[in-house]
Amino acid sequence: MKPDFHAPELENLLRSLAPAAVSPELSSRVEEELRLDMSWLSQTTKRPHTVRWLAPVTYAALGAAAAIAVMSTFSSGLTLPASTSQPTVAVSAPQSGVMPVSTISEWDDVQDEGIRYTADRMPQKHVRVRGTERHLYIDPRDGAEIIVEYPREQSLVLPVSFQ
Amino acid sequence: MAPAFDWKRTFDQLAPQLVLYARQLVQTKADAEDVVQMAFVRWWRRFPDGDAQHIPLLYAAVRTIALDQRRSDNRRVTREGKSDIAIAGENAPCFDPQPEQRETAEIIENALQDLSKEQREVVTLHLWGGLTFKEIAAISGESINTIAGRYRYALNNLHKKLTPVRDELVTSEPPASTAFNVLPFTSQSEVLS
Repeated sequence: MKPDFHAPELENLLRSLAPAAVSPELSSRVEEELRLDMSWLSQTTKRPHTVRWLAPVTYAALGAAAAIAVMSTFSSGLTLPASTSQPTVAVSAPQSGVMPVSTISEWDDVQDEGIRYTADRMPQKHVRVRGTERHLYIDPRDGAEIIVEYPREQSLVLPVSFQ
Repeated sequence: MAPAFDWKRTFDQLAPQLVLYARQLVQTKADAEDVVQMAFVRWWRRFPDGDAQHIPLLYAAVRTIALDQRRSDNRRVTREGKSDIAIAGENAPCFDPQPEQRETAEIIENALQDLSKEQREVVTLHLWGGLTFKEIAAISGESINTIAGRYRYALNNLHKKLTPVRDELVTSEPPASTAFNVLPFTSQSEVLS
């Protein structure tokens, strides 16, 4: 009768077998992949210094330009009011160091006050416009946006011709 | 940061055991080597110092990737059927025996194949990977008692298979330079305790 294996003997028998060697290609593949990592690490590319406020300023400037274009088109057909019901508030930068980006006027309400005649009997259409003027500033040091809103009320006089 | 050449030393010492383990989980040697490549690269990126205490995590990565691959392979094989290359790769030997051990290796390999997958996994990780039952339990998400039980049953099954052919089995001590079952940075007694 054959003697039984003892557990340690069996374990030693199993351990005596070496796992099959890996293919040389495997080592090459791992080396290639790790080399790729190292090449990425060694690339000390400096990220371009981006001005954080540049993008919002660009978009805001585009918006401002569009608003100016619209306003200039709109105002070309109008007669500027002789006077506004409220004195124009001089807009200045809310604090030093910030830069103005855009000014946008929004009309909230337009009230038709009818046609009136001047002393020389010329008809004029009077329109009262209420709205908001929004000024956008950006602090270039930290990109903070500052928005200042002014309520505006204007009395417009439009020429009228009866034909 | 470890020198770039250190990975090679660690890889050379661990790769055969890793591939042996992966082969218990996937079908072909080529698949097993793919798994080991992905696992080792991920592990080395995470632990570039090659610290021995993180080696169980390397086996865990092998297990995770292999099981993922096996799941996708099962779906693919169901769709397409097995390729000839895959079938040929299944028969590649798992061991690299000394010339006088060839017959022994074949017998043991067949005996191992007769074990359940779970038992074979524990035996491979413990005997060739050098992991403790606690580490194997952490990798597989089982209790230590379950792992110890699987190992005990596996040895019993191997005992039954190998005792009748004991006279044909040749035991030879591997040369110290190719001591595959010793982790590179710890002593064997420490690992197996």
